[in-house]
Amino acid sequence: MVAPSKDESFVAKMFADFGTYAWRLLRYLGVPEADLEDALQEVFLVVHRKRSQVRPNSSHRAWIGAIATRVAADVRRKRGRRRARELPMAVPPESTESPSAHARIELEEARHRMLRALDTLKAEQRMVFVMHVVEEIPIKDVAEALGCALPTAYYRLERAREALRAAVQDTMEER
Amino acid sequence: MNERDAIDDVLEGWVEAARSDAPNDGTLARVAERLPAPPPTGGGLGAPAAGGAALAIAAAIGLVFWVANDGSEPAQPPPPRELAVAPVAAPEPPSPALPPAVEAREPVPEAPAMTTRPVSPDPQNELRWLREARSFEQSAPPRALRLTRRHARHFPNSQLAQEREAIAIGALSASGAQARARNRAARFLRRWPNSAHRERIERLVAEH
Repeated sequence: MVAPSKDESFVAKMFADFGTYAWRLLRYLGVPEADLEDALQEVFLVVHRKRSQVRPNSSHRAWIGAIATRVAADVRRKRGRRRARELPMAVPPESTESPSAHARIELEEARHRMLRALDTLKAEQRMVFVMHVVEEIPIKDVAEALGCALPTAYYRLERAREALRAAVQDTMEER
Repeated sequence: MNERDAIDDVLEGWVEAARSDAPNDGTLARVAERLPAPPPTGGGLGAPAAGGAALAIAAAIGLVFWVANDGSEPAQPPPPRELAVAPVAAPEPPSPALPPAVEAREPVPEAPAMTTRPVSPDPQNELRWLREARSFEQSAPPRALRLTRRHARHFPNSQLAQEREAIAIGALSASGAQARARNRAARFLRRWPNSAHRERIERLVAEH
């Protein structure tokens, strides 16, 4: 077998290191289940295409996050938000958490509710919330990745939190 | 606990569940096979997947995919501007009450808080919540994590931050979220290299 070239190693390493992260970003940014694999592939096609533009000391995580947000926005635009809401839980993913059936069901329910609540947000609020709160990317890097000013990122974050709190309250009142 | 705390606890539970979400191995393997091998002179899309690239990717997945999917990359400067995503909408006016930083005050161990409310006036809660969190660390890890997050929210500059973080690491480990526990343990040890909890934390993450 021919040893992988430097480029091959780069794409392989990026996918190995960030494949799960990118998948999760796409999912929580609202990419329908049926489109997730294609969207994930598209993210790493872009990574491959832009590999020469990566700075040695830059954050690959934020960079890939920026690519994933753009891919997710494209997918959502094509499919429409209505369709996106109809398909989010088609294939339950494997979990890294406790294998107990009860815990797993609770976990899946929490994810389902998170996805539904995120569907109530504006796209730009959703991006900031998912990148910063779910993926724990520093807010400065999120603002940079999304091409918005830092105060704007904070503003979107606060609006997102308010909307999500309202969604939680609705859920609690349903019970 | 007031209604706002209850709502934040539920929302944090949803966020925690989202953080541990992951695709199945079949999804990753299928996408890995479809990634293109670069042409010899670099650049361009559409090249068919080559065996070498696919095998390299598949091997790499097996070795490191679980380690890196929860943010193990060290903090680094922002990405290059030319790669930034264009804004999807006209920017809103900045809020006059924006907090100076949600994540930057604590450079390391805390998970991002769901709220930036000021410190609770009731210092009794500081010890009580940690005592409860400690008691639930192994028996009910999600509850312990919720308590440590609430503690962090109300007492971000607590003298007991080390204790709080140690409990959170133990709870993550007990819940099976080993990658996140390891990641947080590494940050803990960088922040507090001489901590009295060091031995326990090293043991916790080494056991799994």
